[in-house]
Amino acid sequence: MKTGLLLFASAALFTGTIALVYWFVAHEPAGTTLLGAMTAALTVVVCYMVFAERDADLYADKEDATMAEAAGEHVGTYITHSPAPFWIGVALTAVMLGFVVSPAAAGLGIIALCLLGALLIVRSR
Amino acid sequence: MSAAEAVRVTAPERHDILSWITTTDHKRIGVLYMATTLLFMAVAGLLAMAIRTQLARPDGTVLDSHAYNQIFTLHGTAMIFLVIAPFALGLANYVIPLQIGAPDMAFPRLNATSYWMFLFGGLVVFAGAATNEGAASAGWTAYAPLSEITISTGLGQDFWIVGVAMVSVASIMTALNFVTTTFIFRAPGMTMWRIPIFTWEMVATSLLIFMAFPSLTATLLLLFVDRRLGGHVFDPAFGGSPILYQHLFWFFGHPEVYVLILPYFGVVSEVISTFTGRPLFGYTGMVLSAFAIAGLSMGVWAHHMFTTGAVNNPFFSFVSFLIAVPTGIKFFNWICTMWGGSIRYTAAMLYALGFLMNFLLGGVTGVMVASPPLDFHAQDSYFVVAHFHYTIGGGSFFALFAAIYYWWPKVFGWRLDERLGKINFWLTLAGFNLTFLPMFFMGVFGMPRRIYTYANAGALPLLNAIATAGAYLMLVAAVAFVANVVVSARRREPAGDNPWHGYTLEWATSSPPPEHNFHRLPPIRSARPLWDVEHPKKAKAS
Repeated sequence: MKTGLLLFASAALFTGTIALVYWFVAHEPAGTTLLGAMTAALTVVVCYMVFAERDADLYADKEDATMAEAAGEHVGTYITHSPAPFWIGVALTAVMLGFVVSPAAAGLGIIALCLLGALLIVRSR
Repeated sequence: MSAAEAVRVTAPERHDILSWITTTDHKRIGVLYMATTLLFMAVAGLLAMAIRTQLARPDGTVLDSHAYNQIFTLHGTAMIFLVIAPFALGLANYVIPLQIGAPDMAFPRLNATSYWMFLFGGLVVFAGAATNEGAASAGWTAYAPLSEITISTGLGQDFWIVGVAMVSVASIMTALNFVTTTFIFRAPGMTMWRIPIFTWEMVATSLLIFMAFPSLTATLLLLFVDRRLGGHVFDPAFGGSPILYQHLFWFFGHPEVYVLILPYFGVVSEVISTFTGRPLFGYTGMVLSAFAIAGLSMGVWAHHMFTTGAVNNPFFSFVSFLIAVPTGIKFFNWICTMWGGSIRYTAAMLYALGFLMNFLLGGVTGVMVASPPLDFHAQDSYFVVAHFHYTIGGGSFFALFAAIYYWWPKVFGWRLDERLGKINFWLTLAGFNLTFLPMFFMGVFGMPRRIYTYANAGALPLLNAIATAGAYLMLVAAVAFVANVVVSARRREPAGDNPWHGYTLEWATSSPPPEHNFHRLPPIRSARPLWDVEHPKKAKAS
């Protein structure tokens, strides 16, 4: 995780520096705002990694870790199939196209998304 | 607790159509991505043939101006948003978890959702052609005010906005998956400085997507507000600013060029390393140069706007020149990797070498147009068309085929025919250079881009005829590739688990891999775990 943190921190530092240099060289608000927003977003990630993930302890980060060491309790099973992604794709397409061609299509898309949400809630109980 | 240990396969693998529609397996999603992008590539390629047929002779009459504008818009949009970048996303979907020893992506359902949004977004872009006034015709950049409702009055432009926005959001979700998977789901011992170079390049690409694509999505939203909700954000008549559109678009647009190329740097690195039988020279330098390119590319967007007179040319010119340094490091390392190695000239390796040659020409001409005095002459001419196509066509496109020939045996368990692959390569190389090399001279002779016809004067008719002949040669090359797939599919020569003697983890599992990738992982003690297994004494000594 240290490498990841270093990556995001150096990216934030770099974009922040570029934003400052750009402002003083160009006095141009659009680009400065974009660079500033990017710096802010990267800083949020850095803060998350520093504060929320500070205790992260991955076997992947240990140079001599073995598979046996990493073995532990069974914490879950990967799903291999789900109808939700396709359904979300179709529904979102209807919603987006609805803005262009017909509000009814957008309505149908929103209903489809609501149905999916309800189905997922029912199945999770 | 590693992610690999969290997995238990509970059901036999299904192969019906429904199982493909509902799949959340990263490998199947990768295959879906790549197959879809190849279909989009076929369509975009045919559109390019229409363009070249129209321009084969002066005063061509194959297409009228409106049809021509639609076709080059769809060609550019498809190649950039639906082919080159998404193919890399599909490839990374397939390869990243295998390379880092993970059982799947961190968010499998999000991964599948990204694919479906990408597919439907692409279809929506093309569906615009079925509207009353046809598809979008404002170019892949959709510059305002050209793309505003006052000029582009048809629904096709709205379909384009919606479709590209969906593709943009899908890309952001995929990038999120890549970064999380790489950071969290590595196998025990697979430290960040041991992950293969392709995965590193995809991490850099994902960071670029995070930083650049939100700007695209926001720009499209604002354009939509202008067109459909009475906004005037980019309308100068009401105080809006077309220059603001260019800032917002190119803040995405130039990093996008590196989104299109960084993954393929990774592909070429893997291919060259494998087929020279040597570890990649300067691994750390390659990783750092990828991030240097990614970082610098965020500070060069307005070199596309030199001629507007509204940007600080020296700043953007200087940062643009700087990008040549990390790119040069990569070239140096690729050459050093090959130096003294026993090179196997497979189809994949030939495509990687073709990439080096073409991309070098694209890169050098990129340095030329990064210089404002030269750019003022080249702006909006065929010189820029040639430069761009040498970078993305000669670069990414060649590396894309290197990737196909390299990872095909892993994906399907049988390999493509090498002889036909080499024929495919040489035809593509000849066709590509015949098509695009003359375009540099067309630009120098003053031929503007995006025109549907030109005068019968000077060398332009001859140069255009040569370019069109080259395009048809590339069509023949494409047929050779399809023939290769058909012939090889009939033959189905078993590839084995590690046909190229690769040393990264994807070659440690079966071809094709089981549903959750690995039955057993080798110990990971370096960036080349399979080499360590084959040479335990040398590995221990090093």
